[in-house]
Amino acid sequence: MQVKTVINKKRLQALFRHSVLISGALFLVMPLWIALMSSTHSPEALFREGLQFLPGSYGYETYSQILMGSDLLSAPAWRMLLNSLILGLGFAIGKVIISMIAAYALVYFRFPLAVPLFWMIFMTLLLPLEVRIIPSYEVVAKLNLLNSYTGLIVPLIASATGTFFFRQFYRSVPAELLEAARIDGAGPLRFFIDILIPLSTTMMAAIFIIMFVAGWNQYLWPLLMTTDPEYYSIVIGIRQVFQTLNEGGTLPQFNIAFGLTVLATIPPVLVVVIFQKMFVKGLVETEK
Amino acid sequence: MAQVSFHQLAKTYDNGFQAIHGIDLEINDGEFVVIVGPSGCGKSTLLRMVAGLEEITSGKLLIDETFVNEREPAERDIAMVFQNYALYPHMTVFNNMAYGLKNRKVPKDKIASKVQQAAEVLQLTHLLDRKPGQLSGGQRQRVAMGRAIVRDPKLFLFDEPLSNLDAKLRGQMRIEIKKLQRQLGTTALYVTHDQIEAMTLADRLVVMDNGHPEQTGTPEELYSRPATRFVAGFLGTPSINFLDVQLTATGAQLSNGEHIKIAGVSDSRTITLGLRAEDLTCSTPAQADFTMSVELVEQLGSELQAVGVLQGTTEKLIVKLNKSEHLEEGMTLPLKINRNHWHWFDADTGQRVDSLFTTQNAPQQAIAV
Repeated sequence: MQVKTVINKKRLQALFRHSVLISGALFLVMPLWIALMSSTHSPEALFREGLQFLPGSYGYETYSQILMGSDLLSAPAWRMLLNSLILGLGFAIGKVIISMIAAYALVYFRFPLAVPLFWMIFMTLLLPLEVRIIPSYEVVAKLNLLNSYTGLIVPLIASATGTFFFRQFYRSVPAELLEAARIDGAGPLRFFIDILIPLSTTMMAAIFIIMFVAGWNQYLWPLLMTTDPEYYSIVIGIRQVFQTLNEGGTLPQFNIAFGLTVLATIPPVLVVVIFQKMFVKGLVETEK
Repeated sequence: MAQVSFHQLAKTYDNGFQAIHGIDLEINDGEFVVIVGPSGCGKSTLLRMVAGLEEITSGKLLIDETFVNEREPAERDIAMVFQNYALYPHMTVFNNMAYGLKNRKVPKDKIASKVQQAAEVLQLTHLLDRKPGQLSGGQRQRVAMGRAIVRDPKLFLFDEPLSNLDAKLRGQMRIEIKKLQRQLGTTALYVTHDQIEAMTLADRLVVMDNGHPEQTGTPEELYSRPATRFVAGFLGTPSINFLDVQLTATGAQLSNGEHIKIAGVSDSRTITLGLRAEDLTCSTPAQADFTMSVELVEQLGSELQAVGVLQGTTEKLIVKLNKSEHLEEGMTLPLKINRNHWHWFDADTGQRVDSLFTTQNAPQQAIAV
């Protein structure tokens, strides 16, 4: 009797736990599911019946329209995906490199005002891009970099977050490693390349993911920077489709918007899935 | 292999703290010198000054007659073994050992043969492809040694290399380090806080305290004729017993009123008497110099150790006795001093005092009445 009640109690607890988990998962997955399902219905069906929870038969048409181009989109989706990819990669790689170098200087070189400089960099964390968007635009425009990848990427590369993470990481690297390397005849550059970079791979991966997703999702900056559809990113493409909605006249192409959204989520998801192991390792423990 | 000279080597930090107060030392070619002292005495700082990791504020450092104060660590031709080994975690054992040679542009085949050779000496051959994370503490220690010996440096520097190992391994590695140094004939400077390590490894020993060298000499010299109260207290296990005594015309008065009879006392001041645990023996109450209250008897196997106080006081005493002695906790034990091995120190300065008794060459010839 006793044993039975214990088992029942355990079952009940398990049931409760799982229902919490399942409802949480549903909550997170549902929007994506709706987008995916709705993208497989015709615009008419969507307009008449609203959001769809089950697969429809219009999927092929939607995605071929997106990928091959249509009047609705000023650039084919592959072009926008490519642009987003370039933006995301350039943003992430640039940020990792710049912040590694900045943190290296801050941690390993005793130059005057190193500490105030660090806090100045750190303070820029408090200022999002939007705050400095007008001066940044001004600079890029004066340099004739509007509608170029350089103009899209470079002004965003300086990263207080990245510098901060790398600084903390470098500070946890035992000082004896540097001393051993000095005795072994490694100069500052050799030490950075031979020792510090290999030690920070997991950290680099972690920051790369965060920055890639952030770069991929950039909206305001590319919107201001680009007037040429050749340089539109996927996020801008999504907005464009919705713009026709406001203008009226034609039937809103919700299926295209949903399709683009689904496509836009795939690369960041892939990056996270691929780098996940390193990401967790980078945040939790390090090889030292 | 090299001679190393310190000329008034000193270090003052930017905040004004003086870590090293002018040290003079000559290390001969092939000699194994150990610097020993309690933590914070400046011994590691001194070693790091020799390595070039810490700036020298004043004084001169010569390696083989060459002035090296201003040289980068890599240009001093030294090799260092760190306390936590400081192996490069992402490199294999081979690359850890080869890294210094690579940076010196040694040809590849020569690097390979040198590393192989060092690995054989240290029995690391089967581990060359592993990374430090896959090695045990003792193996890492060996790799750190290997990294030092592949370069054939003029001078080995050891910064407490054994303190991260367990007691048994420490004993083993101690012997290996000594053997290796003998075999290679390389001059070595070794820093430790462990006095057993210091005594067993050193050809010569430097005892440091508060940035000052207290005494330099062979382990035997330092043990049998400590120059200061500090050196006497620092070397030896269990540590030496100190008793404050008042000199009188007929001997020395202990704080509990007991009297040690000594002939020819020429002084009448308070003074510290240092007595090592093995220099006291059981005696009869009539012949004893003083009495101890035994609080604890420790069985060491080969001998007995009695822990207690000078009777009627709180002055601590530890005595090593023959294991055949019958001891019980709580008993009083009459003790006699081996008068060839007593040490007198000035109560204020802590300096050794040898001229207390009219008989010349005291204390060796001071005779009990």
